[in-house]
Amino acid sequence: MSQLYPDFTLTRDNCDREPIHRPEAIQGTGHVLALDAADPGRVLAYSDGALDILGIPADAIWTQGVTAHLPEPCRLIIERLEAGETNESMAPQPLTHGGITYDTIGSCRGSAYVLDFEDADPPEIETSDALRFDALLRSTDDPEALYDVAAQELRRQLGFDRVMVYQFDPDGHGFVVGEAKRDDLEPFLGLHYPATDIPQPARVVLQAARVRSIADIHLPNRPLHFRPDRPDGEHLDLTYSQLRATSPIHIEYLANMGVQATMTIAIEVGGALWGLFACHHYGPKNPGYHTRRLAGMESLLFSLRLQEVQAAKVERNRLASREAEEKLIGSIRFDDIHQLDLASHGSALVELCACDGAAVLSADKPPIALGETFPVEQLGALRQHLAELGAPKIFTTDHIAADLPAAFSADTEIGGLLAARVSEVGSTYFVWFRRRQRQAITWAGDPRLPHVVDRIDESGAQRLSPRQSFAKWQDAIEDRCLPWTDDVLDMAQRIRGRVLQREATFTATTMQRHNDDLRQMSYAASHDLREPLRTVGNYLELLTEDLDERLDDEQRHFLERAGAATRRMRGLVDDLLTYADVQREVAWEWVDMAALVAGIVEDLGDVIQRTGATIDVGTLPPIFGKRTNLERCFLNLITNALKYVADGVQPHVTVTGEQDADTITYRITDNGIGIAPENVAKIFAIFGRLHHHSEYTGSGMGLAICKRVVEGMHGTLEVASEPGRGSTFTCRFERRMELPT
Amino acid sequence: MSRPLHHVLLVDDNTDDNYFHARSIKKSGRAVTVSTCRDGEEALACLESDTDQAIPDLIFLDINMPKMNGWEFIEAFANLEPACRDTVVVVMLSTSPNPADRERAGRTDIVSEFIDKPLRTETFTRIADTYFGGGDDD
Repeated sequence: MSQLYPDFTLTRDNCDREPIHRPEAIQGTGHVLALDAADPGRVLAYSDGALDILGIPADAIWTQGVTAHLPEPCRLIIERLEAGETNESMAPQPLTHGGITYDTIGSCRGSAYVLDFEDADPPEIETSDALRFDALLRSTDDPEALYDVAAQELRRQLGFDRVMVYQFDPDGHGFVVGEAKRDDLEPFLGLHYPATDIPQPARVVLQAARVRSIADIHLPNRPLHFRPDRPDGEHLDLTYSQLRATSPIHIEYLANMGVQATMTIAIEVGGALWGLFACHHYGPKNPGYHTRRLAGMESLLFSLRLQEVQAAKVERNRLASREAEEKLIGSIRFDDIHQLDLASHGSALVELCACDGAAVLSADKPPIALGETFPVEQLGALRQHLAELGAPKIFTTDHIAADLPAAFSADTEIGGLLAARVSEVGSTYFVWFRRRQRQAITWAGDPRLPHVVDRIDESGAQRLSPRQSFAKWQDAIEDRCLPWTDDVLDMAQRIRGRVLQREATFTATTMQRHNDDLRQMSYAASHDLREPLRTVGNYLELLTEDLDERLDDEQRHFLERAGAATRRMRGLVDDLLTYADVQREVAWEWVDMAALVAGIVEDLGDVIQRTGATIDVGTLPPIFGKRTNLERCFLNLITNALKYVADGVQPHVTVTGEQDADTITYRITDNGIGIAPENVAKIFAIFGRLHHHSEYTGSGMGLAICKRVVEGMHGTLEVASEPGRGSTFTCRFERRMELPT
Repeated sequence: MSRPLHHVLLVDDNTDDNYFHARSIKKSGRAVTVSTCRDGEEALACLESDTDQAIPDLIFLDINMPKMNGWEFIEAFANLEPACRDTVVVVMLSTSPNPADRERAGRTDIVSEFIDKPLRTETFTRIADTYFGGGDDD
């Protein structure tokens, strides 16, 4: 280990910082010469064999430029590197020495040109293999099948004992999604490996170099010789070198598995390392450079096809989800109390996204459960928990145990949920559930023991080895479900919007229907009530007349009381009728409010005379509105102003008006008994009376009618009052139209 | 101006109202005969019969009635022989809270007045005075 990194000692805690890109040795399958990119005649480092191949005398290597000694293939590569080419863009140059032909592979990293010399083995695969690979990938559009096809074909072409498609999870750990292997080998398909098995430095180097080969873990490394005048801290970066020596940790890891040779090919999707092809061989195996290049290209083909297949799958899911969405929306019904119900196609709820179950939670109904959910009694409690969270519009968790512990139960397999509140008037939720994702994850060995300190080397330093136990180890601790992705959240938002829209439409039409019914009913009821009431009143009158002389005072009082009651009831019925009638659609027109109020004052002449009232009417701007309703409203307001005065007080009423650019305001002010603040809300309610009939007569409908009239014209009716001093009623309307000229 | 008021016809399906109204009329001492019909059809049949006594001087007409309501009666009345209708005063006597009814009554020449139930002696006396001259002449 000390040979690889003179300045770095591996410990239990620094594996993720191991400088695996700059070991000071190379694999035993080739030779390396590193030159100064700024002065390619200047050697930075070399392996012993390189000098032999190139015929450079060792004694002059640090003191003289080597340009003159470099054979033609090397000079050509240097020229091209200087022109900005890379190892990937250049074909290797053949170089023959001592009867052996070497592939010369040039790369540039930092300030160094690295020339690799490898035996030019005849290629094991050809361009036609890559084309065949591509054609096979196109024979399926199922990702799972794609993994297997790729693994099978790569193994067939490359001849490794095992080829795996290994995918990284966003959390860093990885799992085998596709595998082709020698029949006698134990399958690794489906196994999960901790993130530490492929430490971060290894991922970075692999993503850069794309293909990596370890020909034989038992073959001794060849040391690199560096310039004696190399400054401290200057390293040779071998990221792009084909021959970079392997981390001793990784060597032991492979040895523990019995693997002797590997080839690893990066799989990039969208610029990120999606996963890799891991090719294992249980003997030495050294695919040549041509073969590795083509395998790298095959990985590119795989990546392209994978993205196509994934996109197609996303699209298929999207279409299926949309179809389920239409079915679901179409099946929504509301009952009389606005409770959402799912008719025939309620099961579409579970088809909207990848989930294991779904539920509809409503306030006054038993929950509807589809597929795998919480037990029913826990579903009711879940609605409570959501309410305690403030009834969020959308709530998600992929970890109920942590985010919603009150709702968590170890008895269920549910690990996460997505809840969407789909009602503004009630608290109905659609909830989707997912099982705990890794309840049955099978780890290849205990991930809690990525490394073991198992030896002390000669110098007394701790030696680390990867865990040796590859026995399958089941992880039953994890409670999370698969994370809820953006497209699922979008779906939930969209569903929520559509259900709310349905609810709003339903509410509006129901309200309209109820209003119509109510108006019809109150009109008919009050109309039909009037007749018997009148008959009762009439007969009471006849009785009083006929009995005239024979009635004693008490009996006469009874009949008077009965007559008064029928008259009061008749007033009530009339007011109810008016209240219902205010809602009738009447045409809007220009109303001359000055004339309207003058008419009312004239009609009230008797009362004014009797009470000695004074009414001052100021300038009243005209308004575009409903004439009859305004008449009722102002009649009620002025009548009230005259009526609710203390005994012996002469009523004084002022009616004023004003308008600005946006509003028209009318005020009716009196010197009456006023209204205590706590009673202000009551006076506008139907039958909201503050006084006994013996004090002030009235049905209690007057101000309710006024408010309805004003609001029916989109205005507001407010009162400001000081008990004992008087009240001011203010009607404020938007200016809806300019007065026609 | 003064002419006799012999016969008043009440057209109303509400027998209680008819009873009360007939009493108010009789109490005034202004009419010899008060008869009642329960709907427009009966009233029309009464007008079309040839006997002179059958033709009333004054009709009090309700609006909401079965078979033929007040409005339908007025249409039919307008198509009668002039002899049957020229001398007849028609007064609507109703409880309709619907302002449209009152307006509609105002638009037809046939209806002389529109008054609210119940008809009281004083109101009847005023109507009798208005259309048939002062009671003293009678």
